[in-house]
Amino acid sequence: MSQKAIYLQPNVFHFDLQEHLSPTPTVSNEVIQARKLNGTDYTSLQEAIEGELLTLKALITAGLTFVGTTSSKPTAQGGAVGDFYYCTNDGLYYAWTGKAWQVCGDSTKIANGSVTPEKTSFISGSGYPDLFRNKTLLNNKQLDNLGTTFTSSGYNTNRYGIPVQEGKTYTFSINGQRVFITKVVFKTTDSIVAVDGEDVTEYFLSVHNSLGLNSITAPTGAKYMFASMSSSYQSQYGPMSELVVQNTQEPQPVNNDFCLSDFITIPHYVPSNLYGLTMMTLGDDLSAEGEWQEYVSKYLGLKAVKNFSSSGAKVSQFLNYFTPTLAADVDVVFIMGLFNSKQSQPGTVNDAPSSDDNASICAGYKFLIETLYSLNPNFKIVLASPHRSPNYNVADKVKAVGEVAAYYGIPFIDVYNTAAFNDYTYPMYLRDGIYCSYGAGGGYEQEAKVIAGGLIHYFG
Amino acid sequence: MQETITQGTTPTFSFTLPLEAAQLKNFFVTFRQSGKNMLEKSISDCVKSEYTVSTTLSQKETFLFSTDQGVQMQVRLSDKAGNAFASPVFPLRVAPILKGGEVI
Repeated sequence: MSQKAIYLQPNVFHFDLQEHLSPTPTVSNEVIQARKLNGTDYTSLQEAIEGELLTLKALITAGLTFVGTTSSKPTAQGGAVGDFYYCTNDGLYYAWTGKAWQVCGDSTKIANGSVTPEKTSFISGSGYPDLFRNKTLLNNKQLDNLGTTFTSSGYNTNRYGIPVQEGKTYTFSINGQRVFITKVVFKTTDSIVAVDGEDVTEYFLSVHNSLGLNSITAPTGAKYMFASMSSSYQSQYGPMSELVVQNTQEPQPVNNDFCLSDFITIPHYVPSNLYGLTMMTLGDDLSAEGEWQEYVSKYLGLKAVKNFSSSGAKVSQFLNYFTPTLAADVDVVFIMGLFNSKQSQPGTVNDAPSSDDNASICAGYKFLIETLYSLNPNFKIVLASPHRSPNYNVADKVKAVGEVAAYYGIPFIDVYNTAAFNDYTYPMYLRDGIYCSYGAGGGYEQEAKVIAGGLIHYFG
Repeated sequence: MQETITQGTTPTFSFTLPLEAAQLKNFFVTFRQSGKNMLEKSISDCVKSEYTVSTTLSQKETFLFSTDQGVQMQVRLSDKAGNAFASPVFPLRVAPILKGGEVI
């Protein structure tokens, strides 16, 4: 092994300050060159920057003088080629060609074809009535289940898609009133008809049929919505050309001290454990409008409510419009309704599950629950009784629903016996003796408070 | 090149000036680490020659610096005519030693 000599040197560091001491620094040629701007030799870079900024400011100020009226435009001799002039009285932009002022833009108009569905796809809170105007509606056409249309007398369908955002819930209204439509199709293209022989089914995403469809959540991947409305609905609510589709309000958590009503106070632990969850509702006319669901969604901060309820449905028909694929992300299943099952007896919990229209209430509800559990045992199933009506005495059927809930050990919210619908409050809560009244203080809001309170009671 | 102060040594910092050292009125070398001035050498701590001024750190002074961060050094001086000067800030490294403490 060879030896290696190591020399220890004293630690001496030399710093030449001759060129580095301020205030007399050496100025590089690059800096000297940079000081010369637009023919001026500034003494420092700071002066150069400040001087040029002042020049620029002066130019901008001078440019603003090119705003005026048509009568105050400079004369032909006053302009230079490329000069630009904006007239406030006619909203036009003019450019000097060297011989005359020529109009080069119009601030009062949007160029034809410049606003396309793609450029408005960011809009989520506004209605799209224009997309249903008569000239863009397909008359006597109805959506089919493959994302195209077929001839169907009296139906209207929008020719151009309404831009939607996946996961958002949209409602339908005419002249400010919530309305039902017949069918909705979601697609990834904005046209319902084929162009140049393309296969429009390629862009088809999903179809939604319901006799009482007045809100819908855009599924994953959805970009455009198409709707069909029957002539009977249009007779009832108004022409489809006035239809407005709006994104419903995002759920918001309520304050801890939120008071539901004089009857029920949500405990201090609101927001509840249901915040951010998705609820699915099955039922009849009482739920089909989706009104009480909106209140409950707001009170509890639900992520979404998927409503598969339909007008006129008996208990045996509550699953008719339910689509398992659309319920894949559902956490809570809420079932309410029995008014239409007039022929059904209350029955007992010993009745076998049955989907027969005239089966007992117990048999019908047992069928619903067992069908749902067979699809997803993680569903949080909740049963509820309907509100009271002077036209329907269903106390024994309400009791039967409560017994079915107890049979399965699942929550039962007794709206019928706790929501304070009685002879004194019917005028306030009911609009026609059966259906709930709208708005603040109305039946839907009252019903929603009881339901929200019940859900919190069971789920915290 | 960034110079390195080794802890436990006696490094000498020698500065070549643009003026005669005899014209100096005040002269300060400041060493800063982690945003804090750790050491300052004044003209009384320096040795002057014709155009240079040098100052030497003691072993103890080099232990003021930790090895996990760099050190910044700057010179400020004034001459008898009343002119004041400041050098750029020079970055320095600090190297550790294996045997701790001063070596006598």
